[in-house]
Amino acid sequence: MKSILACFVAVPLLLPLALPAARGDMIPGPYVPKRDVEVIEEPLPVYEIAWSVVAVSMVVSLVVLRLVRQRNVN
Amino acid sequence: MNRLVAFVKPYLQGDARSGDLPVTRQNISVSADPSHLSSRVIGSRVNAAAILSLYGTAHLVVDAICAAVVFRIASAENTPADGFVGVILLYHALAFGLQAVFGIAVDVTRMPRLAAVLGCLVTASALVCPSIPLLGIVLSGIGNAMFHVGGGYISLRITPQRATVPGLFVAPGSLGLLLGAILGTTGKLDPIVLLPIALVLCVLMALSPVLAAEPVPRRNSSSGRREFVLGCILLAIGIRSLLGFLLVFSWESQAVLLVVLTLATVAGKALGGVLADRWGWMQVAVGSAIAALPFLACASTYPVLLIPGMLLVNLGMPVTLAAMAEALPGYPGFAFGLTCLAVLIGGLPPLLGAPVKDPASISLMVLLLSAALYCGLRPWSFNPSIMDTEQECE
Repeated sequence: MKSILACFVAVPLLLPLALPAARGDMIPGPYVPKRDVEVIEEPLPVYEIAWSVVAVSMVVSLVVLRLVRQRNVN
Repeated sequence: MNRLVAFVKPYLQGDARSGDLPVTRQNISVSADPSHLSSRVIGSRVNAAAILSLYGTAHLVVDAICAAVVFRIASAENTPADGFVGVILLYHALAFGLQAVFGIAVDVTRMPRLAAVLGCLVTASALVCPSIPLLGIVLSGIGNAMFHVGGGYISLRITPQRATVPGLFVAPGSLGLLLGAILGTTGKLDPIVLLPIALVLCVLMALSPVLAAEPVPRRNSSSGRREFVLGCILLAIGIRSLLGFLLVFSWESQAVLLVVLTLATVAGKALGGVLADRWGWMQVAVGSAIAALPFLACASTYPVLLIPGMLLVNLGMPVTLAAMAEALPGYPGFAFGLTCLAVLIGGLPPLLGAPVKDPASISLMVLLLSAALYCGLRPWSFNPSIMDTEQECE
């Protein structure tokens, strides 16, 4: 069980490492049709926002799971 | 059309989001005030069906609005290719990632109806700010998370220890996503037409009574066993989500087949709970996953086989949802949110470029899904309430 919880924590921690790849041309083909439009504006930090939301949600979920476990034990 | 497929696919696999103490029994209570969930009042099958229909329709509309907003932004001329992935990722993170947090809040406050109404309102508000794309994405994501947690809480509480109601609540969502994606991409009909429908549904939900069984008493149980069950079910949900992202074929660019695939998914989610409550949770969930293996494994060669494969895989979705709620008694909102978090995590690898689509990998994942379902659902292998009555009660 601890290993499952460890994996649960590891995902948000490792996610930033994968984000640079997701920004480049390594995006899987079926999802991203190529466009001819030039990007002029600075893109919004959507990846960082998304990662932060996922990480916070996972940490909160783990904390709540621990509290539920303690409550059941007690 | 590929964008439409990429957006709808994860939902087709089932995110995320209850059964039979039949609502005609006296353990169902009706209260106009959600804070009085434990009050024993009159309940009836008609009331439950009306509430379920209302929230199911609202689910369809909310998901349609979200898909319309996301696709309207993603299809805009000035949206770069990687911007589309960013928009999808941000929306998924907000809509799926926040549900666990909102679920805890709903469990603590016991205000699921308020969450559903507010969620529907916030989602609808995303339609009126098309000129600020990021605000539209944030509003639709947060509103979607709030509504799902509120509606999921109510669906899980109407008939505890059963999978029928959650399945019927979740099923219309896939249809709404398809509708919204069509509205958002084709531009033939302005998605703003959904706004008055959403507002009417908000009023009806606010005026409707809250049906809920009496709170399930807190039980002591083996913590290790409970966590093992939770881990297995979450793993199964994650694998199902992963499969949904991976199984993308060129023929899906044909609208008719995409509609048929969506209808198969809706039918799978709706029928899964009914069949599972009749024949047993583990029998239906594990059996359907194993039965889906040959269809999904051969889908790359014969794409039409994906339709029965998706129907079979989705039969187990209401079961995993109800089992999560049973494994976390007293926390239906949090349980609902955790399933969505698993859907989000399961969808990340393919979204970030994991190149696993060969039949052998698909077969391996379906086998792993079956094994996780078997291990996770064993406490309910004979009787959905066995975990509560025989092994967990104080």
